[in-house]
Amino acid sequence: MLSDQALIIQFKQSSDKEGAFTQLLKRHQQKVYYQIKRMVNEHADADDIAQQVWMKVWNKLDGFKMESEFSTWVFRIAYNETVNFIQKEKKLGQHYTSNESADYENAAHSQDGPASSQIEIALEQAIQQLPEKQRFVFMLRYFEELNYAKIASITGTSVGGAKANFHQAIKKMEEILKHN
Amino acid sequence: MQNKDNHKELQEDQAIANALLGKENLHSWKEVNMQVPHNYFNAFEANTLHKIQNVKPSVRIFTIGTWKKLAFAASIFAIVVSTYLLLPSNTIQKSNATAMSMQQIPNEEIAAYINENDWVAEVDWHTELNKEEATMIIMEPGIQNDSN
Repeated sequence: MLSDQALIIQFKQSSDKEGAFTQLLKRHQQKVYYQIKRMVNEHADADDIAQQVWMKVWNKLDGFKMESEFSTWVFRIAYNETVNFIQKEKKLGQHYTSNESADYENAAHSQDGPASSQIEIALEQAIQQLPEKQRFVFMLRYFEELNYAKIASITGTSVGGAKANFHQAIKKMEEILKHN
Repeated sequence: MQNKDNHKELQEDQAIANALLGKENLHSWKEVNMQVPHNYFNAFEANTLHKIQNVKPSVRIFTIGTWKKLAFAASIFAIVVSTYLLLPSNTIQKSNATAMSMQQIPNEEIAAYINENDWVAEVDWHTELNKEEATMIIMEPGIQNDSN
């Protein structure tokens, strides 16, 4: 199996760009999608953002200098796209309304999914109350198990800043849960 | 060595989060967010490729800074002004040159040129007159017919 780097070189050099791109997409699409989904909650929104991310990857891959890992670069695009989306929604007053916890509750109680307790709903609310950067860092660290150097590169911060973001996120969520 | 440290640090971080927020809660939350429509990722791949194939190449819009805008405007102004100032003087020079050359031609040559071409003009004149007369002759009976 070709490495990411080899596929990128293939993309840059060969006329069969789609072949190389499809391989990269297959390899990374799930992680990218789930990270976005955890941030925005709605599948339709996550789908739109993920498509924008991969469109950007297609358009910018020729200029990718391979100074970082491909996955870091894709996550960075995903981070920027997701934060932009959330901020736009905030401006329109559509994000983080009371509907969101109801949506989560519905999803949690759907037939296919696991049953959700009150504490899980409270956890969801706590997660959604975090600033975008803290939330993104928390997801990357806890669920994707990325190291801080990589998280710092994705979110455009220092390693110390990434660590601080993770611990602040946990503290904040704990406080919110206590109040609930 | 660094990988070991990273792994240890990760475990510590996860342990803190589990202790404060509840491991089961976090994992249940993760599972809820893992739900996607059936065959979603295969469709996603196809949709993305379809979108890429159908997107027209983007048009690049160049934005220029303030000083560049000023320089651009100044150069356009300079071109317009110089064209306005230089064009009439060129035209005058050309017309003067023509006038000078006409003056240099001897009168005899001009007279000879007129004389040589005079009969051509006369022939043309007579031809035209004959044509008009013929037209008038043809038209007259027609007018009579109409009046009848």
